Amino acid sequence: MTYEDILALMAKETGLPIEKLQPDITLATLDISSIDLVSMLFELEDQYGIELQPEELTREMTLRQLFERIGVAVPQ
Amino acid sequence: MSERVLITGMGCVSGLGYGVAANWQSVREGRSAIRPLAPSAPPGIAAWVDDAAVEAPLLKGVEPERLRRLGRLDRLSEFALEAGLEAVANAGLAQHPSLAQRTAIVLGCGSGGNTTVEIAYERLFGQGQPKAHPQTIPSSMIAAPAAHLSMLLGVHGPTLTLSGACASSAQALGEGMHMIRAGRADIVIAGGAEACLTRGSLAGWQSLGVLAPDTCRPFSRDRRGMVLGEGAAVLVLESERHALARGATIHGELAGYGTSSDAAHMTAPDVDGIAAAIRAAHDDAGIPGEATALISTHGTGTGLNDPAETAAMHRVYGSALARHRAIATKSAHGHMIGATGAIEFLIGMMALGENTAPAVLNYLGPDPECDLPLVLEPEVFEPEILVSNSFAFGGLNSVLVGRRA
Repeated sequence: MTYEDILALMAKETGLPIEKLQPDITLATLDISSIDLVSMLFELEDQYGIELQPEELTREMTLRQLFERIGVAVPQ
Repeated sequence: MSERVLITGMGCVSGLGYGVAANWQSVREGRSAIRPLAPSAPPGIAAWVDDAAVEAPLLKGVEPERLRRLGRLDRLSEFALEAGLEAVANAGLAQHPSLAQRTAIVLGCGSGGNTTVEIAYERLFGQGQPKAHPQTIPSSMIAAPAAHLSMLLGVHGPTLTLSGACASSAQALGEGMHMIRAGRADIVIAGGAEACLTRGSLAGWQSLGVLAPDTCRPFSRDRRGMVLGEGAAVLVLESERHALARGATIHGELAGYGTSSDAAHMTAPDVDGIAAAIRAAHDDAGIPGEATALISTHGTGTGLNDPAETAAMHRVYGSALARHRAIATKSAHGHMIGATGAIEFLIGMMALGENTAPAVLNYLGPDPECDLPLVLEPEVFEPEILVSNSFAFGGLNSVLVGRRA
Protein backbone atom coordinates (compact mmCIF):
# COMPACT_ATOMS: atom_id res chain seq x y z
CA MET A 1 0.00 0.00 0.00
CA THR A 2 1.69 3.17 -1.23
CA TYR A 3 0.76 6.83 -1.26
CA GLU A 4 0.05 6.47 -4.98
CA ASP A 5 -2.29 3.50 -4.36
CA ILE A 6 -4.39 5.49 -1.90
CA LEU A 7 -4.38 8.55 -4.12
CA ALA A 8 -5.66 6.47 -7.05
CA LEU A 9 -8.37 4.95 -4.85
CA MET A 10 -9.48 8.41 -3.68
CA ALA A 11 -9.58 9.73 -7.24
CA LYS A 12 -11.65 6.77 -8.40
CA GLU A 13 -14.17 6.93 -5.58
CA THR A 14 -14.61 10.71 -5.58
CA GLY A 15 -14.40 11.30 -9.34
CA LEU A 16 -11.78 14.00 -8.72
CA PRO A 17 -8.65 14.30 -10.88
CA ILE A 18 -5.51 13.17 -9.05
CA GLU A 19 -3.84 16.56 -9.51
CA LYS A 20 -6.56 18.14 -7.36
CA LEU A 21 -5.75 15.83 -4.46
CA GLN A 22 -2.99 17.98 -2.93
CA PRO A 23 -1.83 17.13 0.64
CA ASP A 24 -2.86 20.42 2.26
CA ILE A 25 -6.32 20.70 0.75
CA THR A 26 -9.25 20.11 3.11
CA LEU A 27 -12.11 17.69 2.52
CA ALA A 28 -14.47 20.70 2.56
CA THR A 29 -12.58 22.39 -0.28
CA LEU A 30 -12.69 19.21 -2.34
CA ASP A 31 -16.49 19.22 -2.01
CA ILE A 32 -16.75 15.45 -1.71
CA SER A 33 -20.30 14.24 -1.21
CA SER A 34 -21.07 12.04 1.77
CA ILE A 35 -21.76 9.00 -0.40
CA ASP A 36 -18.39 9.40 -2.12
CA LEU A 37 -16.71 9.58 1.29
CA VAL A 38 -18.51 6.44 2.42
CA SER A 39 -17.52 4.74 -0.84
CA MET A 40 -13.90 5.72 -0.24
CA LEU A 41 -13.96 4.30 3.28
CA PHE A 42 -15.54 1.10 1.98
CA GLU A 43 -12.78 0.60 -0.58
CA LEU A 44 -10.04 1.45 1.94
CA GLU A 45 -11.35 -1.27 4.20
CA ASP A 46 -12.03 -3.71 1.39
CA GLN A 47 -8.72 -3.37 -0.40
CA TYR A 48 -6.33 -2.54 2.44
CA GLY A 49 -8.12 -3.51 5.65
CA ILE A 50 -8.06 0.09 6.88
CA GLU A 51 -11.02 0.69 9.16
CA LEU A 52 -12.14 4.29 9.47
CA GLN A 53 -15.45 5.52 10.81
CA PRO A 54 -17.21 8.29 8.86
CA GLU A 55 -17.28 10.48 12.00
CA GLU A 56 -13.47 10.47 12.06
CA LEU A 57 -13.49 12.56 8.90
CA THR A 58 -14.21 16.23 9.49
CA ARG A 59 -14.68 18.94 6.92
CA GLU A 60 -11.54 20.68 8.17
CA MET A 61 -9.37 17.58 7.81
CA THR A 62 -6.60 17.86 5.21
CA LEU A 63 -5.57 15.00 2.98
CA ARG A 64 -2.20 15.01 4.80
CA GLN A 65 -4.01 14.37 8.08
CA LEU A 66 -6.08 11.67 6.44
CA PHE A 67 -2.94 9.97 5.11
CA GLU A 68 -1.39 10.17 8.60
CA ARG A 69 -4.48 8.52 10.05
CA ILE A 70 -4.24 5.77 7.45
CA GLY A 71 -0.55 5.38 8.17
CA VAL A 72 0.84 6.27 4.75
CA ALA A 73 3.64 8.80 4.43
CA VAL A 74 3.10 11.75 2.13
CA PRO A 75 6.21 12.18 -0.03
CA GLN A 76 8.05 15.46 0.49
CA MET B 1 -56.16 17.49 -34.39
CA SER B 2 -53.27 17.25 -31.97
CA GLU B 3 -49.81 18.44 -32.83
CA ARG B 4 -47.49 16.20 -34.86
CA VAL B 5 -44.57 14.65 -32.98
CA LEU B 6 -41.35 14.75 -34.96
CA ILE B 7 -38.08 12.87 -34.54
CA THR B 8 -35.20 15.32 -34.50
CA GLY B 9 -32.39 13.31 -32.95
CA MET B 10 -31.25 9.71 -32.73
CA GLY B 11 -28.49 7.85 -30.89
CA CYS B 12 -27.69 4.22 -30.17
CA VAL B 13 -25.16 1.65 -29.08
CA SER B 14 -25.39 -2.09 -29.63
CA GLY B 15 -23.16 -5.05 -30.33
CA LEU B 16 -22.94 -3.64 -33.85
CA GLY B 17 -21.05 -0.62 -32.55
CA TYR B 18 -21.38 2.91 -31.26
CA GLY B 19 -23.59 5.41 -33.04
CA VAL B 20 -26.47 5.41 -35.51
CA ALA B 21 -24.20 5.51 -38.57
CA ALA B 22 -22.24 2.38 -37.57
CA ASN B 23 -25.37 0.49 -36.57
CA TRP B 24 -27.31 1.35 -39.70
CA GLN B 25 -24.36 0.54 -41.96
CA SER B 26 -23.96 -2.88 -40.31
CA VAL B 27 -27.66 -3.69 -40.60
CA ARG B 28 -27.81 -2.51 -44.22
CA GLU B 29 -24.80 -4.63 -45.12
CA GLY B 30 -26.15 -7.70 -43.35
CA ARG B 31 -23.62 -7.95 -40.54
CA SER B 32 -24.55 -9.53 -37.23
CA ALA B 33 -23.09 -8.86 -33.79
CA ILE B 34 -24.02 -12.34 -32.55
CA ARG B 35 -20.86 -14.22 -31.54
CA PRO B 36 -19.43 -16.21 -28.65
CA LEU B 37 -19.17 -14.25 -25.41
CA ALA B 38 -15.70 -13.15 -24.33
CA PRO B 39 -13.71 -15.81 -22.45
CA SER B 40 -14.20 -14.07 -19.09
CA ALA B 41 -18.00 -14.34 -19.46
CA PRO B 42 -20.04 -17.54 -19.07
CA PRO B 43 -20.12 -19.78 -22.15
CA GLY B 44 -22.73 -18.88 -24.73
CA ILE B 45 -23.48 -16.51 -27.59
CA ALA B 46 -24.83 -12.97 -27.53
CA ALA B 47 -24.68 -9.69 -29.43
CA TRP B 48 -22.39 -7.98 -26.94
CA VAL B 49 -20.76 -4.56 -26.84
CA ASP B 50 -16.99 -4.85 -26.87
CA ASP B 51 -16.26 -1.83 -24.69
CA ALA B 52 -12.85 -3.21 -23.78
CA ALA B 53 -11.82 -2.69 -27.40
CA VAL B 54 -13.62 0.62 -28.03
CA GLU B 55 -14.66 3.02 -25.28
CA ALA B 56 -17.96 4.87 -25.49
CA PRO B 57 -16.78 7.85 -27.57
CA LEU B 58 -19.17 10.55 -26.35
CA LEU B 59 -19.25 9.56 -22.68
CA LYS B 60 -15.46 9.37 -22.68
CA GLY B 61 -15.38 12.99 -23.89
CA VAL B 62 -17.45 14.39 -21.01
CA GLU B 63 -15.39 16.39 -18.52
CA PRO B 64 -14.92 14.35 -15.32
CA GLU B 65 -16.31 17.19 -13.20
CA ARG B 66 -19.68 16.89 -14.98
CA LEU B 67 -19.77 13.14 -14.34
CA ARG B 68 -18.81 13.37 -10.68
CA ARG B 69 -22.29 14.00 -9.33
CA LEU B 70 -23.63 10.96 -11.13
CA GLY B 71 -21.73 8.57 -8.89
CA ARG B 72 -20.81 5.08 -10.00
CA LEU B 73 -22.25 4.20 -13.38
CA ASP B 74 -23.44 0.71 -14.09
CA ARG B 75 -22.96 -0.50 -17.66
CA LEU B 76 -26.72 0.13 -18.06
CA SER B 77 -26.32 3.86 -17.41
CA GLU B 78 -23.22 4.06 -19.59
CA PHE B 79 -25.20 2.75 -22.54
CA ALA B 80 -28.12 5.11 -21.87
CA LEU B 81 -25.82 8.13 -21.50
CA GLU B 82 -23.88 7.33 -24.67
CA ALA B 83 -27.06 6.99 -26.75
CA GLY B 84 -28.65 10.02 -25.07
CA LEU B 85 -25.65 12.25 -25.70
CA GLU B 86 -25.60 11.23 -29.35
CA ALA B 87 -29.33 11.83 -29.79
CA VAL B 88 -29.24 15.27 -28.18
CA ALA B 89 -26.15 16.32 -30.15
CA ASN B 90 -27.72 14.97 -33.33
CA ALA B 91 -30.81 17.08 -32.60
CA GLY B 92 -28.67 20.18 -32.16
CA LEU B 93 -30.00 20.53 -28.62
CA ALA B 94 -26.80 20.29 -26.56
CA GLN B 95 -26.86 23.24 -24.10
CA HIS B 96 -30.19 24.38 -25.60
CA PRO B 97 -32.31 26.41 -23.13
CA SER B 98 -35.38 24.24 -23.80
CA LEU B 99 -33.68 21.28 -22.12
CA ALA B 100 -34.06 22.94 -18.74
CA GLN B 101 -37.71 23.91 -19.14
CA ARG B 102 -40.03 22.05 -21.46
CA THR B 103 -38.19 18.77 -21.83
CA ALA B 104 -38.98 15.34 -20.40
CA ILE B 105 -37.09 12.07 -20.31
CA VAL B 106 -38.81 8.70 -20.63
CA LEU B 107 -36.56 5.65 -20.68
CA GLY B 108 -37.52 2.00 -20.78
CA CYS B 109 -35.48 -0.69 -19.03
CA GLY B 110 -36.36 -4.33 -18.59
CA SER B 111 -34.11 -4.65 -15.57
CA GLY B 112 -31.76 -2.47 -13.55
CA GLY B 113 -27.99 -2.51 -13.24
CA ASN B 114 -27.36 -6.25 -13.28
CA THR B 115 -23.56 -5.93 -13.06
CA THR B 116 -23.73 -3.86 -9.89
CA VAL B 117 -26.27 -6.14 -8.23
CA GLU B 118 -24.35 -9.28 -9.10
CA ILE B 119 -21.05 -7.92 -7.82
CA ALA B 120 -22.77 -7.16 -4.51
CA TYR B 121 -24.43 -10.59 -4.36
CA GLU B 122 -21.16 -12.35 -5.19
CA ARG B 123 -19.56 -10.59 -2.22
CA LEU B 124 -22.41 -11.34 0.14
CA PHE B 125 -23.49 -14.83 -0.90
CA GLY B 126 -20.42 -16.12 -2.72
CA GLN B 127 -17.64 -14.79 -0.54
CA GLY B 128 -19.58 -14.45 2.71
CA GLN B 129 -18.53 -10.85 3.14
CA PRO B 130 -20.69 -8.65 5.36
CA LYS B 131 -20.81 -5.46 3.26
CA ALA B 132 -21.68 -4.37 -0.26
CA HIS B 133 -20.42 -1.23 -1.96
CA PRO B 134 -22.27 1.86 -0.65
CA GLN B 135 -23.37 2.82 -4.16
CA THR B 136 -24.95 -0.55 -4.92
CA ILE B 137 -28.52 0.76 -4.58
CA PRO B 138 -28.26 4.12 -6.40
CA SER B 139 -26.11 2.67 -9.20
CA SER B 140 -28.34 -0.31 -9.87
CA MET B 141 -31.81 1.14 -9.44
CA ILE B 142 -33.89 0.87 -12.58
CA ALA B 143 -34.50 4.64 -12.52
CA ALA B 144 -30.77 5.40 -12.53
CA PRO B 145 -30.27 5.72 -16.32
CA ALA B 146 -33.04 8.30 -16.69
CA ALA B 147 -31.86 10.20 -13.61
CA HIS B 148 -28.26 10.14 -14.86
CA LEU B 149 -29.33 11.47 -18.25
CA SER B 150 -31.33 14.26 -16.64
CA MET B 151 -28.30 15.30 -14.54
CA LEU B 152 -25.89 15.23 -17.44
CA LEU B 153 -28.18 17.17 -19.80
CA GLY B 154 -29.69 19.56 -17.23
CA VAL B 155 -33.23 18.34 -17.87
CA HIS B 156 -35.55 19.48 -15.06
CA GLY B 157 -38.86 18.20 -16.46
CA PRO B 158 -40.61 14.88 -15.87
CA THR B 159 -38.00 12.11 -15.79
CA LEU B 160 -39.69 8.75 -15.96
CA THR B 161 -38.66 5.12 -16.22
CA LEU B 162 -41.04 2.61 -17.75
CA SER B 163 -40.50 -1.08 -17.36
CA GLY B 164 -42.49 -3.31 -19.66
CA ALA B 165 -39.93 -6.07 -20.25
CA CYS B 166 -39.17 -6.39 -23.97
CA ALA B 167 -41.65 -3.64 -24.86
CA SER B 168 -40.19 -1.09 -22.40
CA SER B 169 -38.61 1.32 -24.84
CA ALA B 170 -41.47 1.09 -27.35
CA GLN B 171 -43.73 2.09 -24.46
CA ALA B 172 -41.31 4.91 -23.58
CA LEU B 173 -41.45 6.29 -27.13
CA GLY B 174 -45.22 5.96 -27.32
CA GLU B 175 -45.94 7.51 -23.95
CA GLY B 176 -43.37 10.23 -24.71
CA MET B 177 -45.27 11.00 -27.91
CA HIS B 178 -48.46 11.40 -25.89
CA MET B 179 -46.73 13.79 -23.47
CA ILE B 180 -46.02 16.10 -26.39
CA ARG B 181 -49.52 15.71 -27.82
CA ALA B 182 -50.94 16.53 -24.40
CA GLY B 183 -48.84 19.68 -24.18
CA ARG B 184 -46.83 18.48 -21.18
CA ALA B 185 -43.49 18.93 -22.95
CA ASP B 186 -42.04 20.35 -26.16
CA ILE B 187 -39.23 17.79 -26.23
CA VAL B 188 -39.15 14.24 -24.93
CA ILE B 189 -35.87 12.34 -24.86
CA ALA B 190 -37.15 8.78 -25.10
CA GLY B 191 -35.78 5.31 -25.62
CA GLY B 192 -34.35 2.53 -23.55
CA ALA B 193 -31.32 0.62 -22.33
CA GLU B 194 -30.40 -2.86 -21.18
CA ALA B 195 -27.21 -4.47 -19.87
CA CYS B 196 -28.23 -8.03 -19.10
CA LEU B 197 -25.27 -10.13 -20.25
CA THR B 198 -24.16 -10.92 -16.73
CA ARG B 199 -23.69 -14.35 -15.23
CA GLY B 200 -26.84 -14.33 -13.13
CA SER B 201 -29.07 -12.81 -15.79
CA LEU B 202 -27.73 -15.16 -18.48
CA ALA B 203 -28.30 -18.15 -16.20
CA GLY B 204 -31.92 -17.07 -15.71
CA TRP B 205 -32.48 -16.73 -19.44
CA GLN B 206 -30.79 -20.06 -20.12
CA SER B 207 -33.02 -21.76 -17.57
CA LEU B 208 -36.10 -20.45 -19.36
CA GLY B 209 -35.08 -22.54 -22.36
CA VAL B 210 -35.63 -19.75 -24.89
CA LEU B 211 -32.02 -19.07 -25.91
CA ALA B 212 -30.75 -20.45 -29.21
CA PRO B 213 -27.48 -22.38 -29.06
CA ASP B 214 -26.57 -21.47 -32.66
CA THR B 215 -27.91 -18.05 -33.69
CA CYS B 216 -31.09 -16.00 -34.12
CA ARG B 217 -33.16 -17.13 -37.15
CA PRO B 218 -36.43 -15.13 -37.15
CA PHE B 219 -39.37 -16.79 -38.93
CA SER B 220 -37.08 -19.52 -40.29
CA ARG B 221 -37.56 -23.26 -40.21
CA ASP B 222 -35.28 -24.90 -37.64
CA ARG B 223 -35.09 -21.71 -35.59
CA ARG B 224 -34.01 -22.55 -32.08
CA GLY B 225 -34.70 -19.45 -30.04
CA MET B 226 -33.62 -15.93 -29.27
CA VAL B 227 -30.15 -14.48 -28.73
CA LEU B 228 -29.64 -11.75 -26.14
CA GLY B 229 -28.08 -8.42 -26.96
CA GLU B 230 -27.33 -5.26 -24.98
CA GLY B 231 -27.06 -1.53 -25.48
CA ALA B 232 -29.33 1.49 -25.76
CA ALA B 233 -31.27 3.58 -28.23
CA VAL B 234 -32.56 7.09 -27.57
CA LEU B 235 -34.59 9.38 -29.80
CA VAL B 236 -35.42 13.04 -29.45
CA LEU B 237 -39.15 13.57 -29.95
CA GLU B 238 -40.20 17.14 -30.49
CA SER B 239 -43.41 19.03 -31.11
CA GLU B 240 -43.69 20.19 -34.71
CA ARG B 241 -44.03 23.79 -33.55
CA HIS B 242 -40.85 23.70 -31.46
CA ALA B 243 -38.86 21.84 -34.10
CA LEU B 244 -39.87 24.19 -36.91
CA ALA B 245 -39.27 27.29 -34.81
CA ARG B 246 -35.67 26.37 -34.23
CA GLY B 247 -35.07 25.04 -37.73
CA ALA B 248 -34.34 21.49 -36.59
CA THR B 249 -33.42 18.71 -39.01
CA ILE B 250 -36.38 16.33 -39.15
CA HIS B 251 -35.72 12.58 -39.37
CA GLY B 252 -39.38 11.62 -39.47
CA GLU B 253 -42.56 11.52 -37.47
CA LEU B 254 -43.74 9.25 -34.69
CA ALA B 255 -47.30 9.08 -35.91
CA GLY B 256 -48.96 6.37 -33.87
CA TYR B 257 -48.75 4.14 -30.83
CA GLY B 258 -50.85 1.19 -29.84
CA THR B 259 -50.44 -0.81 -26.69
CA SER B 260 -52.35 -3.69 -25.17
CA SER B 261 -52.10 -6.36 -22.51
CA ASP B 262 -52.96 -9.97 -23.35
CA ALA B 263 -54.14 -10.53 -19.78
CA ALA B 264 -53.65 -14.18 -20.60
CA HIS B 265 -50.27 -15.77 -19.85
CA MET B 266 -46.92 -14.68 -18.44
CA THR B 267 -44.72 -15.96 -21.29
CA ALA B 268 -46.89 -17.39 -24.09
CA PRO B 269 -47.82 -14.84 -26.78
CA ASP B 270 -51.46 -14.22 -27.57
CA VAL B 271 -52.59 -13.50 -31.13
CA ASP B 272 -55.61 -11.42 -30.05
CA GLY B 273 -53.50 -9.15 -27.83
CA ILE B 274 -50.84 -8.64 -30.50
CA ALA B 275 -53.44 -7.89 -33.17
CA ALA B 276 -55.15 -5.41 -30.83
CA ALA B 277 -51.93 -3.46 -30.37
CA ILE B 278 -51.19 -3.34 -34.12
CA ARG B 279 -54.74 -2.16 -34.86
CA ALA B 280 -54.55 0.44 -32.09
CA ALA B 281 -51.31 1.84 -33.53
CA HIS B 282 -52.87 2.24 -36.98
CA ASP B 283 -55.99 3.82 -35.49
CA ASP B 284 -53.91 6.23 -33.43
CA ALA B 285 -51.94 7.28 -36.51
CA GLY B 286 -55.10 7.50 -38.60
CA ILE B 287 -53.44 5.30 -41.20
CA PRO B 288 -55.26 2.25 -42.62
CA GLY B 289 -53.69 -1.20 -42.78
CA GLU B 290 -53.67 -0.95 -46.58
CA ALA B 291 -50.94 1.73 -46.53
CA THR B 292 -47.73 0.02 -47.67
CA ALA B 293 -45.63 -0.67 -44.61
CA LEU B 294 -42.14 -1.70 -43.73
CA ILE B 295 -42.88 -3.90 -40.71
CA SER B 296 -40.06 -4.17 -38.22
CA THR B 297 -41.26 -7.34 -36.57
CA HIS B 298 -40.65 -8.38 -32.99
CA GLY B 299 -39.19 -11.51 -34.66
CA THR B 300 -37.35 -13.10 -31.76
CA GLY B 301 -36.69 -16.43 -33.47
CA THR B 302 -38.44 -18.44 -30.75
CA GLY B 303 -40.77 -21.31 -31.53
CA LEU B 304 -43.83 -19.54 -30.13
CA ASN B 305 -43.36 -15.84 -30.89
CA ASP B 306 -42.87 -15.98 -34.61
CA PRO B 307 -46.05 -17.96 -35.53
CA ALA B 308 -48.17 -15.86 -33.13
CA GLU B 309 -46.83 -12.62 -34.62
CA THR B 310 -47.41 -13.97 -38.14
CA ALA B 311 -51.00 -14.96 -37.32
CA ALA B 312 -51.70 -11.55 -35.78
CA MET B 313 -50.42 -9.77 -38.88
CA HIS B 314 -52.56 -11.93 -41.18
CA ARG B 315 -55.55 -11.13 -39.00
CA VAL B 316 -54.93 -7.37 -39.06
CA TYR B 317 -53.78 -6.87 -42.65
CA GLY B 318 -55.50 -9.71 -44.51
CA SER B 319 -54.67 -9.65 -48.22
CA ALA B 320 -52.91 -6.27 -47.84
CA LEU B 321 -50.05 -8.04 -46.01
CA ALA B 322 -48.60 -9.14 -49.37
CA ARG B 323 -47.76 -5.54 -50.30
CA HIS B 324 -45.88 -4.94 -47.03
CA ARG B 325 -42.35 -6.12 -46.23
CA ALA B 326 -41.24 -7.70 -42.94
CA ILE B 327 -37.76 -7.28 -41.47
CA ALA B 328 -36.31 -8.73 -38.26
CA THR B 329 -33.19 -6.94 -37.08
CA LYS B 330 -32.78 -8.97 -33.89
CA SER B 331 -30.86 -11.29 -36.21
CA ALA B 332 -28.24 -8.49 -36.30
CA HIS B 333 -28.29 -6.77 -32.88
CA GLY B 334 -29.80 -9.54 -30.80
CA HIS B 335 -32.70 -9.16 -28.39
CA MET B 336 -31.84 -5.99 -26.50
CA ILE B 337 -34.78 -6.44 -24.09
CA GLY B 338 -35.53 -2.98 -22.64
CA ALA B 339 -33.67 -1.27 -25.50
CA THR B 340 -34.97 -3.39 -28.32
CA GLY B 341 -38.18 -1.54 -29.19
CA ALA B 342 -36.31 1.74 -29.52
CA ILE B 343 -33.38 0.45 -31.58
CA GLU B 344 -35.74 -1.41 -33.91
CA PHE B 345 -37.85 1.71 -34.40
CA LEU B 346 -34.66 3.75 -34.97
CA ILE B 347 -33.27 1.30 -37.55
CA GLY B 348 -36.70 1.10 -39.15
CA MET B 349 -36.78 4.89 -39.52
CA MET B 350 -33.35 4.79 -41.17
CA ALA B 351 -34.64 2.11 -43.56
CA LEU B 352 -37.76 4.17 -44.27
CA GLY B 353 -35.69 7.28 -44.91
CA GLU B 354 -33.38 5.49 -47.35
CA ASN B 355 -36.06 3.26 -48.92
CA THR B 356 -33.87 0.24 -48.15
CA ALA B 357 -35.21 -2.86 -46.46
CA PRO B 358 -32.41 -4.80 -44.74
CA ALA B 359 -32.37 -8.59 -44.93
CA VAL B 360 -33.46 -11.00 -42.23
CA LEU B 361 -30.24 -12.86 -41.41
CA ASN B 362 -29.58 -16.56 -40.79
CA TYR B 363 -32.69 -17.73 -42.64
CA LEU B 364 -32.66 -21.44 -43.51
CA GLY B 365 -35.97 -21.75 -45.33
CA PRO B 366 -39.71 -21.24 -44.91
CA ASP B 367 -41.81 -22.38 -41.98
CA PRO B 368 -45.46 -22.71 -43.08
CA GLU B 369 -46.53 -21.12 -39.79
CA CYS B 370 -44.43 -18.03 -40.53
CA ASP B 371 -45.76 -17.07 -43.94
CA LEU B 372 -44.73 -13.42 -44.21
CA PRO B 373 -43.39 -11.17 -46.98
CA LEU B 374 -39.91 -11.44 -45.48
CA VAL B 375 -36.98 -9.47 -46.82
CA LEU B 376 -34.34 -12.13 -47.43
CA GLU B 377 -32.03 -10.01 -49.59
CA PRO B 378 -31.67 -6.25 -49.11
CA GLU B 379 -34.16 -4.57 -51.39
CA VAL B 380 -35.26 -1.16 -52.51
CA PHE B 381 -38.69 -0.64 -50.98
CA GLU B 382 -40.61 2.62 -50.75
CA PRO B 383 -43.33 2.10 -48.17
CA GLU B 384 -45.64 4.81 -46.88
CA ILE B 385 -45.00 3.96 -43.22
CA LEU B 386 -42.95 2.02 -40.71
CA VAL B 387 -44.70 -0.30 -38.25
CA SER B 388 -42.46 -1.44 -35.39
CA ASN B 389 -43.70 -4.31 -33.23
CA SER B 390 -42.65 -5.07 -29.65
CA PHE B 391 -44.16 -7.84 -27.56
CA ALA B 392 -43.09 -8.69 -24.05
CA PHE B 393 -43.33 -11.22 -21.28
CA GLY B 394 -46.34 -10.42 -19.19
CA GLY B 395 -48.35 -10.18 -22.42
CA LEU B 396 -47.39 -6.53 -22.89
CA ASN B 397 -47.62 -5.40 -26.51
CA SER B 398 -46.58 -2.07 -27.98
CA VAL B 399 -46.56 -1.04 -31.61
CA LEU B 400 -45.21 2.20 -33.08
CA VAL B 401 -45.99 3.78 -36.44
CA GLY B 402 -43.41 6.02 -38.07
CA ARG B 403 -43.70 8.19 -41.14
CA ARG B 404 -41.39 10.37 -43.21
CA ALA B 405 -41.56 13.99 -42.13
